[in-house]
Amino acid sequence: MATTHTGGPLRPVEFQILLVLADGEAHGYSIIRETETRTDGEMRLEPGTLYRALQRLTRDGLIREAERRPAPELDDQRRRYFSLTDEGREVAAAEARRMARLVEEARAADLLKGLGTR
Amino acid sequence: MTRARSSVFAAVSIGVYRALLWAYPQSFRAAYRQDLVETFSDRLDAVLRERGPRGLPVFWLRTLRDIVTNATGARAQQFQVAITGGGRGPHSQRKANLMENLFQDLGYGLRSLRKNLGFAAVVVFTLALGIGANVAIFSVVHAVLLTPLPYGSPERLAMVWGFNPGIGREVASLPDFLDWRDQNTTFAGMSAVVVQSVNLTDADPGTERVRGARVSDGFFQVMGVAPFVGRAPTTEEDIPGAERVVVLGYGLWQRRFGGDTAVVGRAVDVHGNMHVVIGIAPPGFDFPREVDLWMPLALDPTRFGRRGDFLTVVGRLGDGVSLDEAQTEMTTIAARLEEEYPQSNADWTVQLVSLHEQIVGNIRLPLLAFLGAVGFVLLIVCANVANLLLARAAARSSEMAVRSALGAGRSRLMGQLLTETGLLAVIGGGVGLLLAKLGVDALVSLSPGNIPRLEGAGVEGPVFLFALAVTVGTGLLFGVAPALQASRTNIAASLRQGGSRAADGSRSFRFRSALVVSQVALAIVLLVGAGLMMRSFMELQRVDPGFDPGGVATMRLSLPGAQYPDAEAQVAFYRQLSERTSGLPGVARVGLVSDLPAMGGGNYLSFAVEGRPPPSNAVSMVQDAHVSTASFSYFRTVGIPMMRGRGFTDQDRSGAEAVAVINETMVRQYWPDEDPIGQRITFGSPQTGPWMTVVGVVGDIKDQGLDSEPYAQVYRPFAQNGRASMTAVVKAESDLSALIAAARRQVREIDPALAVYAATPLAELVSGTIAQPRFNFLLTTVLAAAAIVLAAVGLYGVMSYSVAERSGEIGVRMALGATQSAVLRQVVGQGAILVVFGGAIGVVASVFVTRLISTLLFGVQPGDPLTYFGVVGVLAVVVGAASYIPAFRASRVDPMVVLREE
Repeated sequence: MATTHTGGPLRPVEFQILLVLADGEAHGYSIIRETETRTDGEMRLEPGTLYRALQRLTRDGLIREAERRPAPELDDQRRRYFSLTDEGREVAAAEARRMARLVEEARAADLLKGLGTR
Repeated sequence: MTRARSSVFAAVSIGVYRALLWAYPQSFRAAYRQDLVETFSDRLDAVLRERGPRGLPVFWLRTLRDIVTNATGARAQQFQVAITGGGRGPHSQRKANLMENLFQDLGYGLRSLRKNLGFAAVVVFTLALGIGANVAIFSVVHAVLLTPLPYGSPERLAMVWGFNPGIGREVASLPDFLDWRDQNTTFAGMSAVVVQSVNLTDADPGTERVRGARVSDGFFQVMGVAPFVGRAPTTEEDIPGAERVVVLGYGLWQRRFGGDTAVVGRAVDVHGNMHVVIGIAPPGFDFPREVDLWMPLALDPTRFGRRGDFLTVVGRLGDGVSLDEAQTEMTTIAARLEEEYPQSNADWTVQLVSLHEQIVGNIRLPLLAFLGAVGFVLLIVCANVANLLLARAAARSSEMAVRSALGAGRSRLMGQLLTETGLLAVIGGGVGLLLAKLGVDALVSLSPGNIPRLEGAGVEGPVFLFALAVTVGTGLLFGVAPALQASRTNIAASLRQGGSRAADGSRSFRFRSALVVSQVALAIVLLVGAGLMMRSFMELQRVDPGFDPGGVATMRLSLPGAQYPDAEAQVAFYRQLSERTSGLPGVARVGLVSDLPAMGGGNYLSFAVEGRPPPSNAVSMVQDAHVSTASFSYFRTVGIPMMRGRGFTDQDRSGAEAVAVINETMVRQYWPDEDPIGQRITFGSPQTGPWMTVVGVVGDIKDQGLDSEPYAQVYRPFAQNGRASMTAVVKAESDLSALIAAARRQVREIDPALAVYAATPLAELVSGTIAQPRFNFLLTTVLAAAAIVLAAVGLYGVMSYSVAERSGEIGVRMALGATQSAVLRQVVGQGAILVVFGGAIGVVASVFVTRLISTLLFGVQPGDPLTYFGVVGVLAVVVGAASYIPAFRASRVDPMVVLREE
């Protein structure tokens, strides 16, 4: 049932995963660690949440299991690596633009005073 | 060792996680199981690496939340897919059905509990109390009794005691120790230890009083620990006159030297002599207990006699040698010494005690008693919850009937009910875990301080698994019977009745009555236990110690040998201190003594009486006395009465005739028909003396603790027997803490390098000696109170239910002329039967159970009738109230209303 992504905002978890994968392929545990660093520990993914999100993203065609594996000395044969599809990259970019617009609007409404302007 | 333990936790955790993954839908599992497990174990590794086993509870809570949320979500999603046309292979149909049922049941259970929030809250809270108390006590048992000692192969460590049938276990003399050590073949090593308080002086922050241990060669090897930094003392350093060295305790090193390794190699002043720091002990190394530094013993054996017992001996058994084998060999060695030195060693043998037994031996019984008591409380909790569930099952019988009529099989109904109780148990267990955490903290802070290794207690690792097991066991125990009962519903009857009353109430009532009977019986046992502990404690408090600790402050001092080399200097110092302290405002009297009364310990010496043959070596003739040194004003200061003759005076000084004051027990034992005044005794040789003349007799005091019998005691005047360590006792009208502060200042003015330690009111010290009985009594009372309240609630539930059930019958009887009081009597009587029955069982059980704790009691027999009467009285009042309320309600039934309803 490989439908294409139907639009609408991504869940925060999904967006974070896409962000991690935008840097390159990664396996489950490295995604958990990476999001944790990225969000200063605010988003701590549990395995169940992670793999359900990965399942949804795969189903929606935004990510796929990586065919290329990392260099053999870095590879962990047991693990499954994920990478971004072209569509996933587009969706992540669209989501980022949507967020940027939101930030612009917030700035226009003077909600971000004191946080520095351009 | 930590790694090995961690890997056990990891293996168990991963196994549990694998099992829990069954909660996910089959398709999700098939796709991601391997990855989930890998990711889980990566995170687990990280947690264990960073936080160790104590990180596990939080980690597992997060994991459980993750599984519950996502498994439910995934299943809901799958359900949607199924409805919207996504097919599923038939192979997994059956399993999937089971899981789907489980999740349906969970959802249903949550909803139905939410509808009955009060009921759920009561059950969860009761369970949480029961489980929490058990986990808390178990965590103490685990830390104190089950955790191996932090030494290398601790099971091979044993204490080596001298043993005399008339005296009991005794520390060893230096010559005996050396013979034991050198002649045995079963020990890999043996070391002697003596604990000694010392003054530690260093530029900053001045002088401090610390506990030090002098240890013989090879001590650290025997204990199986290597210094954290630096090295252990060498054999050469254990010789008199060798360079003085010291190993610092980890805690002292951190506290006093800021954990700076540069201190190794530096010299510090220990008790007036410079010692080179050669090493730091590893963290957690605590043998002997609460010792801060270790120094070589470095004693000359030729200067010590065979009955100068002062060394605690610890040995490490050789590889593969059992304690029994070593005991056999040591007995042989002791027998040889007995033959060789009959004068000193007759009747002396050797007794081995494993180190673990030595450390926890005294506390094992109370701890196990507490564990048994909380176990009883948990059983009562189970009975109570089962009772509540039964009542609820009765109320829900029509619901069950409808579901069963609509095609739900019995197993499906049972599954549903068990899921609900499982849910209650898990929530109860979770809350219980939190309570246990609080409980452990409370226990640690309330404990009398004589429980070794208590500080290691916590809710983690194995304790967590114990909690899990208790929760599951509890759930099964209280859940199965009600589920069986409820799923056995008779459809037709329930539906006909419109569901207001259970159809097969009589069977249910019988079962619930049986629960109440067992609750009452269990509560009685706990009440009797608590009652006996309370009586023991009261008896202890009533004991006349033989002295008056009120308004007396104590202050312990020890003079370093370098500055105060002889008796003259020591006497001069203490005289100056006494004079200055007497001048402080509010001070009535100042005395000095070598060892405080009722604190136990002290110096025991055998003596000879002038003109009598030296005591034979027969066991019954061990002729020794507790020897103390006291100043002339000591007796009056602490209120020990003078019975005969005189106390010490100013004239009893060095050079004058040596004198002694003895206690009444000594008079009874040795001069039953003579006047002891003027008799002469000696602690030296009966041929040469030196002799002391008995000049007075004082009253007995409870010298070895309030629960002990007085022992023969000899006091010698301080002015004739100067010594370095004395305790000043100050009787004052004024506030003792202010007085102690002022007295400390006096000490510093006389000698700024001196440290006062253990400055405490005497009354506090004395009450500290009964802290353990007080703790026993408090804890058992709390548990017994919980038990009786729970039992009362159980009885109340059963009676209310029975009254509600029989309101029709009662209405008819009242319509036919039964008076209110007759109804009241009948209902209360019905409750009374249960209580009498349960009470009888409880009393019989108590007789057996309390025998197990008889050694914890003082001044009261396990079969103490007063306690039993008291307990029955308490029970009568509480359960009387519990059955009176429903009975009263029954007696107020309006016959008209009831009959109309019928």
